[in-house]
Parts: sequence; C-alpha cells; structure tokens
Amino acid sequence: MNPITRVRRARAALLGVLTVSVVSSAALAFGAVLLFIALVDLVSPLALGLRRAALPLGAIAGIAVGGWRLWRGRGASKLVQVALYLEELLPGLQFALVTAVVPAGTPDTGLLDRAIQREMVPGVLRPPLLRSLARSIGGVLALLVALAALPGASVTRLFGPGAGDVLLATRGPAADADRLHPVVIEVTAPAYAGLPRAVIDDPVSVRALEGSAMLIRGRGATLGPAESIALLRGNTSIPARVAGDTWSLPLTMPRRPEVVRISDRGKHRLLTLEPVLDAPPTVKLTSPLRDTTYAVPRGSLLLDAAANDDIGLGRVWFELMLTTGGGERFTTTTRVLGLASPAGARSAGIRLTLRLDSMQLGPGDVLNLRAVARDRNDLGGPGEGSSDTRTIRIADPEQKDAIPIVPASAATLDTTVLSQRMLIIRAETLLVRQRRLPPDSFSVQSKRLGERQRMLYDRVQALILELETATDVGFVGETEESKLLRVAGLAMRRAEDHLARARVSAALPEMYRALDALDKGRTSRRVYLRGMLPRILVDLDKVRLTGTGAAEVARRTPRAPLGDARQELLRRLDRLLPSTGRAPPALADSLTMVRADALADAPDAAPLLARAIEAIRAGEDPGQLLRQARRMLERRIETAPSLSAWRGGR
Amino acid sequence: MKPFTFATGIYASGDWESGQLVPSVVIDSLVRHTELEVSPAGVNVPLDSAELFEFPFLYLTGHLAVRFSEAERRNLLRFVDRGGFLFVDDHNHDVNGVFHKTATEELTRLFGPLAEVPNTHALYKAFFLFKDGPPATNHEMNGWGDNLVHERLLGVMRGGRIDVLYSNKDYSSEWSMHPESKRFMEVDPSRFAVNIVVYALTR
Repeated sequence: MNPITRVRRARAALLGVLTVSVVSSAALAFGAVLLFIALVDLVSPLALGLRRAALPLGAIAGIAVGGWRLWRGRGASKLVQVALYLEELLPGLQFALVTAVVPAGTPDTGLLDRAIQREMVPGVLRPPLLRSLARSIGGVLALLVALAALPGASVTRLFGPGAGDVLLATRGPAADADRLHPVVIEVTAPAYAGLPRAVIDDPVSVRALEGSAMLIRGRGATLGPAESIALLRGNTSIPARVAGDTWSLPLTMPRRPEVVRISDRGKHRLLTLEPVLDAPPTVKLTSPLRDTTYAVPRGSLLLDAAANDDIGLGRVWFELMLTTGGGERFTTTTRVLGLASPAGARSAGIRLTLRLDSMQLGPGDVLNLRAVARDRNDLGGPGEGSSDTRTIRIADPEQKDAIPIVPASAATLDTTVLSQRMLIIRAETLLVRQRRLPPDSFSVQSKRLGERQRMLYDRVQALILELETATDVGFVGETEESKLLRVAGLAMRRAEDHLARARVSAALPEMYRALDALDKGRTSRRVYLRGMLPRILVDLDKVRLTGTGAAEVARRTPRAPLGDARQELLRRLDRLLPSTGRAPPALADSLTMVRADALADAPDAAPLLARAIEAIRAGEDPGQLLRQARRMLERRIETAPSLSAWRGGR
Repeated sequence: MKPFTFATGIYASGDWESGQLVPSVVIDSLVRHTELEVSPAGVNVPLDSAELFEFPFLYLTGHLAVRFSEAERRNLLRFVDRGGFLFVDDHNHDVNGVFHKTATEELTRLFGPLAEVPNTHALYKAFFLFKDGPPATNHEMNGWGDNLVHERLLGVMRGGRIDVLYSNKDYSSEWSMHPESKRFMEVDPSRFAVNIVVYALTR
C-alpha cells in the first residue's frame, strides 16, 4: 500500500467519525435546549408563545453547534491535514508521510515508502476514533434518557403546544390547590356561522359571537368536593360537571356584555363575556339609481343590487310594492322578485329586468322598489337589511298635486333674463365696434345701454317686493328667489354705473353676474317639487287668543333628568379611584364589573379600563389609565357650530 | 328666542305632502289658544338635510309607503337623539294600510318597538284635558269602512317621555280644512294639536 492510499483511507475514517460527531452534537444542543425549557416549564409553567418558540430555538442551537463542530473538523477533508494528524500520532515518521502526500512530491519515493512502511503502526487511528464515537453516542443516549424521564404532559406541552394545554401544566400540592386557575374555555360558535371551534387558555375575558356555546374546563376536581365549584350568573348558581380530574361548566354567550363569577370554596374568579353581535346585512341597490316618473309605463327597468353580511347571507330578493288608487283609498300589493339563496356567502348580487308594460300600471300608480337581504342567524334573527327605496311614479295628468302644466305667458323673471342677455349681446357688440365709432357716439350708446340696465333693475326690484310681501300681511321675509334677485340687482347697479361712464368692458362682468343670478332665480322657481305645499299664512294678530276652549293644564311636576349611563359609570369609577393601591385583586374585580357595563354604554372607555385591570394584575400602577378612562367617560357631546341655538327639551 | 315653526318632513318615498292644510290649522290653533310665539307659515324640511335640526318639532304624514333612505334614517335618528319631537300621523287610516305598515316598520327599525302611550300620559293634559286619551276623529266615528276607534296612540318613550308619537287616527284628515272654517264648528277639532305641540316643547 502506497502512502497516499494509506492517508486516503485514514481520511475516510476521520470523515465518517466527523459526520457522526456533527449530527450528535447538533442533536445534543437541540435536545438540551428543549430539556432546559421543559424543566423551566415544570417549575413555572411557561406561556404558550414561549413554548411554541422552543422547537425553533432548539433547531437554531442544533444548527449552530453542528456547524461549529463541522468547522472545527474541516481539516479531515484534506490529505495533508490528515497526514499531519497521523504524524502527530506517530512522531517517528519524521514528516515522511506529509512529504509523500505533498502534490509536488519527491523523486525518491522508494525511500519514503520504506520509512513509512517501517514506522506505520496498524490501527493507530482506532482508539481516538472510538473515543470520539463513544462520546457522541453516549451524549445522545443520555439526552434521550433525560427526555424520557420527563412527564408525558410536559412532552405534550413541549412538542405539541396548543391552546388548551394550560390544563396539562404541573399543579401544586392538593392542600392549597387553586382549582379555578388555570381554566380553559372552548368556544363553539352557532352552527349557522360555520366558524371553527376556538380554545382560549385562562382568559379574563371572552369575546365571541352572541349565542356561542362555551365550556369552561379546569382541573383538580378530585382534590376537593367537586360540588363546591359553581358558576354564578345573576342569582343563578350552576354546579360544575365532573369527569375524572376535570370539571366543566357550560354557558352561552349573552346578548349584552356580562360578568360571571366562578367560585370554589370561598375563592372566586370573574370572567367577562363580550358578545359580538351578528350585524344585519347591508344592501345596495345600484340600479335604478334614482326615483323617476314615467309619463307612460313602457319599456324595461334593470334592477341590480349587491348584499353583504359579516357572517353569511341566507336570502336576497327584490321587493316591489305597487300602490294604486287615489284620495283616501289606496291598494298596495307586495311582490317578491329575483329571490336568491347565497348559501352562507358573505356577499351576493342579484339582477333582474322588469318589464313595465307587463305590470298593468296605470296613471297615478306608485311603485316602491328595494332590495332586501336576510342573514342565516337562526338564534336571534334572522337579521334583515334593505337598500334605499326607489319610487317609480306613473304620471297622472288629472292629479292636481302632480306636475302642474298650466299654459301661461312668459313670467316677468323670464323676460328679465332675456332682456339682460340681450343687453349683454349689445354691450359686447358695442365693444367690438368701439374702434370704428367716434368717441362721442360710443359714449352715447353706452349711456343708452346703462338706461336700459336701470329699467331692468327697477323691474327686478318690483319682483323682489312681490315675492317678499303677502296680501294683508306685509313683509313675510326673504325667499331663496328674492335673495338671488337681490344679487342680480346689485350687479345691475354696478353695471349701470360703468355703462353711464362708457366703461363697457368693466360693465360686462357685472352684467354677466346679474344674468347668472337671474338664471339661478328662474331655475329655483322652476325646480319641480312634487306637490309643493301652498304657502298658507295665518293672520296671527287677527287670530291671537280668540279660542274659546279653556285650557285645563294639569299641574306640572318637574321630572328627574333622564339617566345617563356614562355619568353612572363615572360615579362608579370615582368611588373606586380612592382605593387604587389597596387590595389590588378586589379593585381589579370591581373594575371588571365597571368595564362590562362600559362595553355596552361607553365602548370608548372600555379598552382603557381593560388595560388598567391588566396593569393591576401585573402589579403596576393603574392610576394614569384610570384617569384617562375617567376623562373619556366625562366627555360631553359637542354641538356643531352650524346648528341653531335650540338645545332641545331635555 | 325663535318663534315655533311647524315643520313638515319631506321624505323621498310616498306622499309626504298629503296634509297640505294641516300646518296652517295647527298654527291657527296654537295662536288661538296659547301665547306661544309662532311663525305664520309652516316649513317643509327634507329629512336628509341639515335644516332638519333647526326645528324642534317635525310632522310626518302620507298615505303611501314610507321607506327612508340611509341619509333620512341617519338624520331622523340624530334629530330624535338630540331632543327633537317627531309626530307621525297615518293619513291613510286603513287598518294595517301601507303607510301604517311601512312607517311603523321604519320607526321600529330606527327607535325600537313602538309602545302604547297610556291615556293618562302628560300629553293628554299638556294644555287641554283629554280625560279619555286621544280624541276620536270623524273618520273613526263615521269610518272609511273599518269603524274602528283606535283607543291609544303609539310612541317611542324614554323614561316616560315621548320622543316619537305615532297616530293612526288620521288627524291629518281631521285637521285638513281652512283655518277660517273653524268658526262654523262648535269645538275646535285641532285642540289636540295644541297639546301635542305644547307637550313637545315642554317635556
């Protein structure tokens, strides 16, 4: 066997042992981390998040140690390094082996081969390699033994951590066992919601859909009388059910936030139930987009709607209400069209084309259209939502309060608008012709336009007077139209002034301003408001206190102001504030009760109270948070400045 | 202080304008019997406008379907929440007519279920005394066919105070006359309107 072959064989053996060493050291590091966490968890149960991090942490440690071991043994892959290692074991080689494996080599290989043959001892590598293998395998075996010695519950908590395994944590001695800590709550949402079952470890508050079935589970049922564990809800006491070492209490999520008490042999714990209410569906009718009046009920109408729900939709449909008749006699028929069953989908759309000519609609008929959706809530529901209603009217030419079409000559305001427009055209023409006209002639024509503008101004003033006075009553106040006419009048006066001084270009913007205001005034009068009520004025002075009936006003007693839930919460909080720092558990319980009511009556303050309760439980000072919650409860309703001074009757 | 202004609510569906003469009759009665400062004419206010909050009293009526838009619902809820008084009268007077059915549905959706206003409520002694509760209307006595006298009004109450008053007695027909016509009547038929307004302003 030549020297190179010898070294190669030694390298193969070294690489094999190195592989075993790398794997075993990585496994050792991984296992040691898990073992450490398991031991800590045995002494003091660790949070779920920390236990979930155990496996990744162990893997990181294993990779790091294995990598470090590989790095240290990297020389085993190089022939020269292996040769040097052999030289170290057999100093008598006098570097003959290294010289033989050096790539440059030496011409006298025969001499080297003989020297190596002479000094080489068979099996020189075996003892160190066996020692290394024994260390690796021994370490792994020791770790496996240590892990096997762990309680089964610890292994489950370590290798399969999940919600609910808080009950597997090691418990204290039976004598002082607190059977109310920890507990696990299994929440099963109502079947219609189709939500997965949730498990919550040792909560102080449970948030779930209204009507959810909850099961509170705890351990230690055999450590004392099981019947002493009970759930107190109002005046009702529900005893726990027992199965082996586990006790359980069933309850249902109520509609309003509530605090329930679990008690055992003088000890108790509070649990806040925070219901999530199933919101009714929201529905949007996207076609038709607005109300309309048909002269003749012909053609088709596209109905299109979209519905959404937080849990799931049960049914969606269009509802049509057709009202026929008049005066005091009306007949209404309701029809359901385009019914769809989205089978629990959170959103759905329905679409339909309605043929108006097939509905036998007549003059004066009214069709109210809307889209309606119901959710699948079979507990407190179903929740129903509907879109805005579109009203389709069929015009009735004989109906007095429908579109009044009375043949009449052009209104004064209309002729005023026309005149103003004509004046503007003449002023613009004059401006174009200015260069071709002698200055005197331009001034004369401008002045004439000013006089016409003055005449228009007078007509507008007469209109304002007509609008703002009523026969026998006098001034009744400004109207929208009269306000616009005032704006027009003012612009006309300015225009007239400019025209009188032959400043046509300065007058034109004012003339346009006047035209714009007149146009708006005209449009405001022409806007058709269905059945605009006649403005009937009561002659107050004539009627005042002429009634003959005698008042028999009963003696009025002042009533107590309506109860204010926020104020009540504030009072309760104020009673608790002085006890901050004393008896933290009692304070936390009292605040839990206040928070439960705040969830319904002051939801903005509830999160602050929750943080204060957490702070108390963590042994921190809740003062700052409680003061913030107090300020939140104190908040007064502010009125927007645009609203009138009237403040209402309470 | 601003004088009391009788406001009629405009809603998009139905016929909000059916009680055209009611505002003047109520205004006339208020002036005839009380010293309240009153505007000589009523106003019509769209339910979806901010103008609604200018008036503490709102009258809604009609014969046809009442389907509020989201904006109308939001405003109406705010109006009542801020202390406004809503008086809804079914001009239709049919038993379970479309106005009654849809208006009560909408009001229930907005304010919760309507409750019967007891006939001993302060409303019936706010100005005139109505010992037997709400006065019957001619339409109830002579009837459109149902011959049914509704013995109580409905309402949404908070702590005994009426926020929303609902009537299906058809006061809108009873009070649909020119105020001048009252001089031919023995008893002013709109005296109860005085009670409603006085109660609304003093509750």
